[in-house]
Amino acid sequence: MRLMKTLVTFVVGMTLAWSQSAAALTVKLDLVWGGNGGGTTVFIHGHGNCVGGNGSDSRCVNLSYGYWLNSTDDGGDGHDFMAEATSKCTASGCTMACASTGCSTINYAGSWKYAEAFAIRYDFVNQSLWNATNDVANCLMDLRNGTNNTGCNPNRYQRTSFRVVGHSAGGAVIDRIFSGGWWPDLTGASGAIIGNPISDAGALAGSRAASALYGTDGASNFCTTLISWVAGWAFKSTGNASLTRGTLLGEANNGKAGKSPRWIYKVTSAGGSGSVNNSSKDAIKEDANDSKMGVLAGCVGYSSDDDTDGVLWQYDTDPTSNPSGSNGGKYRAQYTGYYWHWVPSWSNHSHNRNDAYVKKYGFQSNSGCYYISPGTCIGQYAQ
Amino acid sequence: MAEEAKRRRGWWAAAALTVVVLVLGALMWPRGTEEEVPTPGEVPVSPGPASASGPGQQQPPANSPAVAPTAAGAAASPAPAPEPLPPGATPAAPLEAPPIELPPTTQLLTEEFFPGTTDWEGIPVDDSHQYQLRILPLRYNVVAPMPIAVLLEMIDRQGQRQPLPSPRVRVRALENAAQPWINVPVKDDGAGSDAKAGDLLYTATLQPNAEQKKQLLGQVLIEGSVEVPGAGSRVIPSVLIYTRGPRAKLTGQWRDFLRQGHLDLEAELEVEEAGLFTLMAQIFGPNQEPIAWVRQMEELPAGRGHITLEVFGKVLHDAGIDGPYRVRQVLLTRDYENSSQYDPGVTEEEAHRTKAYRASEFSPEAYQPAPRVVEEITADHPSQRDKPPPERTRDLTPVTEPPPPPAGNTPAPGPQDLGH
Repeated sequence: MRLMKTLVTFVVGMTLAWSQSAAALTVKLDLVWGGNGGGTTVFIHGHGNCVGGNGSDSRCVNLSYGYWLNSTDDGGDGHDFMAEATSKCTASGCTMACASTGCSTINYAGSWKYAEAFAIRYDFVNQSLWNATNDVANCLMDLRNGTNNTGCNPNRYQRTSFRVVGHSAGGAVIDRIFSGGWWPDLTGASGAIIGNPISDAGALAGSRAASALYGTDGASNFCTTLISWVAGWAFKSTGNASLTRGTLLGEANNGKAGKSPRWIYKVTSAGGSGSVNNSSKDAIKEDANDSKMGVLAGCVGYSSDDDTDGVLWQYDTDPTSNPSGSNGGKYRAQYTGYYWHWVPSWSNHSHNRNDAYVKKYGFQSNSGCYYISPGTCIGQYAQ
Repeated sequence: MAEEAKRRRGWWAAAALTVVVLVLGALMWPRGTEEEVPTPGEVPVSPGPASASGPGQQQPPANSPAVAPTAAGAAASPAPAPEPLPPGATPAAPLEAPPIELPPTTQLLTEEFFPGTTDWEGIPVDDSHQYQLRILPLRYNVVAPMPIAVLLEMIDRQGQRQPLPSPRVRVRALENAAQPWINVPVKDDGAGSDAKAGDLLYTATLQPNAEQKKQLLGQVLIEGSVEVPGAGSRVIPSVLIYTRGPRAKLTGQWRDFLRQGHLDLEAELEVEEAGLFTLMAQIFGPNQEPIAWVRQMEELPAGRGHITLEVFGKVLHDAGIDGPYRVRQVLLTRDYENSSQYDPGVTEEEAHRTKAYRASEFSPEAYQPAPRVVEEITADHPSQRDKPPPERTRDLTPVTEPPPPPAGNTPAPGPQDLGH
């Protein structure tokens, strides 16, 4: 069981940026969904290159919301995490269109308030956390100012306040934006980012397991030969190295990580058997990557939380803890910031999907949300 | 004929058995089916504050497994046995975080930590996980002209060091994969940065020359490796910061005073080159009781200047520890506008001791953030009306028909595994 726990734990890690060289292409900002007075939310993807070039994913390169779709090519239903997480039921009687086959995330009846949704696309494969953070934060600054200094905002959209939702390593980017204090116009009292930032299925960044992945690349390696998929991963990458345990702890010791002065709400795994795969209720291949990484974690012999917990890890005993109380989580001295264990969900770590489970289990009322589907809670309580 | 009839009977029996199994399977199918997923209008909602199913109460015990099914298991049919309801199977309001009572520049500290350092990395080197290869930069912040020094060791399960088989260390700039690696000799001879000869704690030391210095300034990627007989090479990464430093330094002159219920710590700096600086420190009681982590970011011109760290009164008041307070683990960094790159200096372990303030002298008042002062520009603002519309449009009309079911639960073969 302990090994299995490790497997899950490891899962999330692969949100990491596994990269090769620093050759950032233009970061992109797109207005995906309109709203009806519910404010603005910006979505920040995790590990992946959504701007083209080495290691890029055509699904998100060609489609601004491609990362956030529950891809049909791996058993999903095409639903959109962004739509769900920007929809808020505001009065009793509101409904989503639901049936045994699922709840529509687009068609609603009753009283709903919608936030508009922007997506940022950037390269978190070929550059480190430092530069990925610069790309994202400066693009957010362009949105705040109605400028196009980074090239991400040619339409010069301007919003002076917005919320942010990060998936996987996108959470590590958010943590760095807040921890360093480098962008007061985003994070200060009058900063553009309002409310509590959301880290959905946080990354393995900063864990021992992240470091192990880097090292399991040797010829005839006993782990990589077990998992050919792993061999296809871009080991020895810039992004990978920037997210290893030693690096993240070094940054936290320097006051540049784990120091968020605002509560970052973590949408974590509920724990329990199959919790990252819809509790094994559906044969959806949403956990495929998680499982493979889990096998690798087992292969390298990791079995304790400390081996696999990172700064915003999604598992329920994640280490980010604040002495003021973090609603659970392990203690780590240099993470003095505010990280709230918010919703234990059936979140998983597939990067080409949404939370997957909205289609059957996720809907909200005006006074409650289904924790198992992170998007419903984000829509209801974080918008 | 008898054989034929027997075979036919066998087919019928098999078919009947299949039907029974299917019916039983359908009956025992756990949640997630139509009758068990209420439509939202029918859902009994738990209004109000977080119920017992709130996240704070729902965490499994520490040993509770959070299991990712294996790749094979993931594709298998769900187990038919009934299960307890998972967390969040009924709607509830998640527990909100409490208000933050300290400003962004003061955070509660419960244990000392050490700027300029990091922790050991370790990976197993053999199938039986008998041995582990470990790496640690001697310093995470290497301020030139300090040498870059990296410790390498292999330990067994008892933590006993073992000889390293063909150890190698190489370094390059993290962000430039095209840059050639610089090989660094690995020694256990007690010379240079290696503390003791023959202790099996190996040290790789690089004193960069001018060209190497130019190449390495910034984040440095380190690879340690060994050749395991019969297994091949094992590689472990590490990262450190190689920097010219903040081009400013603390003079060692501090003043401390009580101001509006808070403790101000004014540090004097000699700034070589104007810029943006962050000063951070950890505050302890007289017996090194951890109290707070504080920081301040300031633009400073060249010359003599000051940065004042404010220790928010409430953190000292609530700690109930009287001074003198010790200002430790002080780190000055040069920062850059709109960038998360920075140049750290050398950490000062013990920088200052304050006057003997009493904890009760400090304000117990919670932090109140400044009111938001922004002329809001939203999608409805006149300046935004001629912008391109959103890419997708919500259908806001009520839906009478349920959405069509997906093709099936069986996943399509993944055409592309991106390894995310």
